[in-house]
Amino acid sequence: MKSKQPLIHLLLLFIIVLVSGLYSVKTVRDIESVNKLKQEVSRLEINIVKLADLSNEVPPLSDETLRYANTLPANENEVANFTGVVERFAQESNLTILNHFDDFPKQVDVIGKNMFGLGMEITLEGSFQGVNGFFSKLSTMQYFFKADKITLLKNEVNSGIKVIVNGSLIMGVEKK
Amino acid sequence: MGFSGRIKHNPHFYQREMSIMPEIDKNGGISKTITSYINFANSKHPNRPVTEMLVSGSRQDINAIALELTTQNITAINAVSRLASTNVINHTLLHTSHGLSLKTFDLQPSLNLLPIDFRLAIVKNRLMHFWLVMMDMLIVFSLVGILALYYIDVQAVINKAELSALANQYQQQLHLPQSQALITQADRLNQITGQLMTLREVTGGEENILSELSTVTPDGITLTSFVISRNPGIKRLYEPGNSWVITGSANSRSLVLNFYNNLLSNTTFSDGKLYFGSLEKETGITFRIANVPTK
Repeated sequence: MKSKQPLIHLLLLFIIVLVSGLYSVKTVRDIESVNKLKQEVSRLEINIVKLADLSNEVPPLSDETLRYANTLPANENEVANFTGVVERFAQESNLTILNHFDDFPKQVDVIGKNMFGLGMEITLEGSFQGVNGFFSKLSTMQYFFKADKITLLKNEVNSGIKVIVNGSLIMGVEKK
Repeated sequence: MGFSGRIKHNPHFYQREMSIMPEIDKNGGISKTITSYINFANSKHPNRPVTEMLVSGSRQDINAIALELTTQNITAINAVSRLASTNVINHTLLHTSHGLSLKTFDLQPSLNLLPIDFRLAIVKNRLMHFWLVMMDMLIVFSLVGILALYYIDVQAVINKAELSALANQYQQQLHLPQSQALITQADRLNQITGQLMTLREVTGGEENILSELSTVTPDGITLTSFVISRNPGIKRLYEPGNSWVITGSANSRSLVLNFYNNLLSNTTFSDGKLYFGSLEKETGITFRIANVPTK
């Protein structure tokens, strides 16, 4: 009695195992791609919803944005506007004022955040009450002036005081 | 018909196939033939006499033969075909590495009279058949697995195509000029509001310093200078932690001490130290209060 050798079976089995192995790798990669795409689509769906929200919310805020942006001068004209405001405050407080600006804006550290600022020195002369009123107005104006040093001196010539304020006018990026 | 004998103290069997009827007739019948064989065996191996006979076959008088051998003081066992019994569960012979054993799977005694090579060939054939069946099953299962994989992969590819199309659609929607304009506008708004909130924390309030200074300065004290400078990390100029120096003159030492005490009660100036310019004078005193060393 002669027994049949299972060579064909073994060969077939080997081929099937090889094919199924390769196909498994392909299937796993396809499934991974699908999962990544699902995450991407979820993210995009969230962004689409946010975009829809933005399209409802942003247009009414345009005026607000513009108003906020105007608080940060972005060019010489707007710096000139700020100067006008400060000079008006000094005039209202019966002070003489002298402004000196740096030539160029530079990075200013604002509690760890870097912002654009134009260094300036304001020299005021007048009464103590006048200076106090000037500072009150400076605090409530629309612009942001970061005072870093205040030097107050008794005026030798008259009974008033002289105040030198060093600081930076915080600026915004130039509007297009 | 056949018979098998068991030799005393020996687990081995010997056997003989009785198929030649003329020889039986010549010996005077089946019983005598068996007896003569026993005698012959005993004469050849006197130290290993035949002790037991197993009679098997399909003759009508097989029971009588067994009985006759018993009467001749030979223990004879009539082999009953296991195939005739319905109690026997498994007729398959136990396979061992040496061929077939003398016991079946259900541990019933059995005899196989086939030659050893033939028996080994049967065992090998059966084992090979078993393996072929197993491999056939494996192939079938693997093919089923491949079909399942194919189905899963096709589904994944379809999903991938659908999701890619959806992602592209969303991307296009997000990259529309009006969408980009909205996003830019929102970013700018966020940036500006963030900036303004930070700036609101660090600007303004300078008038508080002057007001406080004015409040605590009594008559008879003249401040000649006041310098306050922001130190890194301090949010507002009137908060503690900044560097400051006050210089002035006073009519009396007690006025200065009073002014100094009032000054210390204020949080902005609570860390100040008093320095007199002229210790020997009682009037026209100059002084300096500061939280930093000065000349």
